[in-house]
Amino acid sequence: MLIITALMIAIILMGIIVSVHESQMLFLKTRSLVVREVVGAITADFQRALAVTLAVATRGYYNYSRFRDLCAKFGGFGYTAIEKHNFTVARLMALTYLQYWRETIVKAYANYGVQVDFEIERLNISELIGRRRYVYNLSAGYWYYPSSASVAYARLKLNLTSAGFYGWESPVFAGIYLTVQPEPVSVTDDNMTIRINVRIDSGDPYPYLLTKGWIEVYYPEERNDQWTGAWKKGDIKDVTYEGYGNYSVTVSPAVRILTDPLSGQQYVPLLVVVSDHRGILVEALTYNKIVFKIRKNTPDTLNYHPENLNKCKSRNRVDSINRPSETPYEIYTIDFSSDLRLFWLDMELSKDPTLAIPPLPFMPIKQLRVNISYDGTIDTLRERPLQVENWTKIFWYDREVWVPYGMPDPTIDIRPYIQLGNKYFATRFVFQVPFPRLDISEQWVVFWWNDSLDAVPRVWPTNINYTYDPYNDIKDIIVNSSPGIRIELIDTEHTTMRDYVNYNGVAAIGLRSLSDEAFGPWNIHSFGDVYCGGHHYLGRFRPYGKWVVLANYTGRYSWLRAPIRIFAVLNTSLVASVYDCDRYYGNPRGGYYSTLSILSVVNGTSYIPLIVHIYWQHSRSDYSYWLYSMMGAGKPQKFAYITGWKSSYYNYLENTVRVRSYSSVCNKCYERGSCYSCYHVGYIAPGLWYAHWNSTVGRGVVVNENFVSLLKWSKNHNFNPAFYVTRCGGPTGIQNSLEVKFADDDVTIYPDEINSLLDYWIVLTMFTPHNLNEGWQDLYYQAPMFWRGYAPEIVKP
Amino acid sequence: MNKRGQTRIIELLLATVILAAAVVFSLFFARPMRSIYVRETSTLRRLAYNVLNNYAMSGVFENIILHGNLTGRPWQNEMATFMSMTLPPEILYYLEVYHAVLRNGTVTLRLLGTITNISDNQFTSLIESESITYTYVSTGEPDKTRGIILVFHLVLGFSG
Repeated sequence: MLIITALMIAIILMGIIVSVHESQMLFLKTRSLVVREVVGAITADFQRALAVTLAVATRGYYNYSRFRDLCAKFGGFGYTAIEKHNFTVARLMALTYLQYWRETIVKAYANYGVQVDFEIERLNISELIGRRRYVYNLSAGYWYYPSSASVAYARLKLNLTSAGFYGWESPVFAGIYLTVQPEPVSVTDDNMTIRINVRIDSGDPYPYLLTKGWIEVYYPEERNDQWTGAWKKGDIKDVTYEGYGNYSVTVSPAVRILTDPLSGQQYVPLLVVVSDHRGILVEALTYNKIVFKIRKNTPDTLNYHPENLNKCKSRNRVDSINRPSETPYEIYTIDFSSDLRLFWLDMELSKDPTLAIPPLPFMPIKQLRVNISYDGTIDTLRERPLQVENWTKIFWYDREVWVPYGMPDPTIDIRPYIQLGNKYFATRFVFQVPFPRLDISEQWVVFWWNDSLDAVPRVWPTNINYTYDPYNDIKDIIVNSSPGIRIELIDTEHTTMRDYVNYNGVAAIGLRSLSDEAFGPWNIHSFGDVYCGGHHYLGRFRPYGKWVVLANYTGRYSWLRAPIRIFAVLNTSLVASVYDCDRYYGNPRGGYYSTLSILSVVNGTSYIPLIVHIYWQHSRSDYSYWLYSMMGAGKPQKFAYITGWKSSYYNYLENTVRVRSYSSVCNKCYERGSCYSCYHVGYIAPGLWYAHWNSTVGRGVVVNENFVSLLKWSKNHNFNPAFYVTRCGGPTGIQNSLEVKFADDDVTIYPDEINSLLDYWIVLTMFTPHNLNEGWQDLYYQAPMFWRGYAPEIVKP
Repeated sequence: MNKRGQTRIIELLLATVILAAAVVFSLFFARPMRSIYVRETSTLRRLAYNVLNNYAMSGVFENIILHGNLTGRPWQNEMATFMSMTLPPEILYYLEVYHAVLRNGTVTLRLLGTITNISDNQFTSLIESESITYTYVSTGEPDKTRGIILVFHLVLGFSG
């Protein structure tokens, strides 16, 4: 009985439970639709929100000006034109925007009790772009390679508390992947067909490129059969969708096919930009590096005529010195210009005509890197310092002159060139190519680019530093190496050389030891003499102006120092006197000559080039004309120079090396000057180098062929050009100077005759003499690298 | 007496069982209360989401609402025409469009406009209606409208 009763109660209870369950199911059935649709709608909207932030970031990164309509709207979220190439700022903008989106969702779906959040996770996209790459922090872009991507990724978390729905999580992707096949499918005379693959989000093929998105193909601009470095928009003739995200794109014109020397991969240099319907953009290139070689042309053996000091003439025999097998000083500082030309000193280097250098990508400067070999093999290709400079080619009076005018903001785009009226602007990428041994004749140079939009400029250690401290009387470029040197810039801003004299605005270069001991000034140009205060003074009219120093990048990276070289540029049309009894002391005047000088202090080398352009404004007559004079304190014991031409009158042949001791100058052959207690003696036919040294340290001046041509012209016009040395007491004691005079007598300058010759360079070179007697050889070893005739060239690997 | 009492108890239990079984079986087999209403409204809700999803995917919000707001075009008329064309004829709709504006760190919903095919007297006879909320981040062209967040309240129903 009892059992039956229990059974009955159980049956009743079960019936009640079943009916309650049924009611609950009905409730959930009606609610599940709401949940499903709301969750779906919010997830889709989150993806759209991610897509918008990525569209702003990628469009701004590619070309903020072009997409200003979109990008400027996000200024309120912290994204501005200045920060267009700062993906961190773009990411912060995205997070702020997503916060706004979250608040909107919570407000809009308030009756569902929505709680929404997202979590940033790492996403591996390596398989999709064919190299190891991740999205670490909400969004990332990997561009400028044949396979490129722009991706945003987050995990959405959602609760609908009113519907009793908790813990929903969904990975959400927004992105676009573009792969460009480097080699064209077909090429005709007029056009070529390339194949690309476009995918979106988590790798889904994108079939809407033509209907909803867009594609642009750029090819290298050509002028006079040379690529200019600029990109031109190609004319897309046909696009065919082939399925699975593949498109074949026919574009005009046809472009020549190149081969990557390192990989052997053939490619047609093209830049492809693709946008999906949401505005997410990606830029890809068919190549990821530019490769060429630098070949040195300096000789292994150097010839000269020795001097017969007994007869004061050249010996007829030719002696040779072999350059040592180790040549650590042979380091070229090369400029690769954005218009695809290469420079060394003030000359454009010749390029193998079969070598085609494709343009740099349309990308910010900060992405660019350079690898250079050390022993001529690809095994030693390593990333090396790279410096970026702005240069302009201007019409300076009667000639075209290249002048550096600053270091750019590394976050701005590479502009191949800009032509504004008579001015031409280009960016130069400066790198150093070492030839540490005689047997190394070629070095690899590989320009490549960091594909991450998060890339920042590399900070390279450097031994050069510029210090401007007017309160402590310092305007110095310091070379903190061995042997170190301080270059004191004397000018209108810093008038007095420390422990020396007040130049009162005349521009010169003070040479000092690292411990700030003054060696003396390097006077870069002077004309005429003056009799005042009871004395006769030489070099009356000297350039008057200010050295403008270029030592730091600009913009956000103004803290970043120039790692390779620091420029000091002097551009003036005035001259003044350094003698305080002269009426032109501190009282500049025009009507003489204008000076444009570019001093570059180079890291890791023993040379300091000074490029000089002089323009005479009017005809002038006076006594003597110096092209430079360089004081050397009283330390050098010996000096030497090489003759620049044959002097029949004095029986000296071209390339005669004449060596002297400062202590016995007056006993030996000299042709000009006077030899009293404070001597000032001159030698004929000054040539391509001048040196003085003691047993431990040497300093020399190497000039280029233009300089010698100028002196030859002077000789032909009987102005008596001469190399001079002096040994006189100065403000810092005994001064041993090296000087070259264009004219050692009365001279009349006619601008029309001479101006075209006044472009030359002088290279101050430090060396370590291997012994006291033959110290000059250590300068001679270095000298050919500064001559046009031995300039390096660019060759095909 | 004892036997009779037991019989009563058995009768009582049997009666209870029969009653309970009847109730449970009727619950099992009977349709839920107002099932027609549930089915109709869930269909309407699904229809509402489908319509707005389709509009979103085909760029209707950018092309009509946002572009209209930019240019001053009568976007509400265009949208009404569009909705009338895309919804079944017997469906009544009422759509409110808001722009989620961020000002001083706070989001406010600013009404851009309403679109409806319901006349005033039909509101009172609207039966089996369903309302949904939908948000839309504008992603399509033109660039000027990308990133604008729209919020929609859409009511679909049948006239009684």
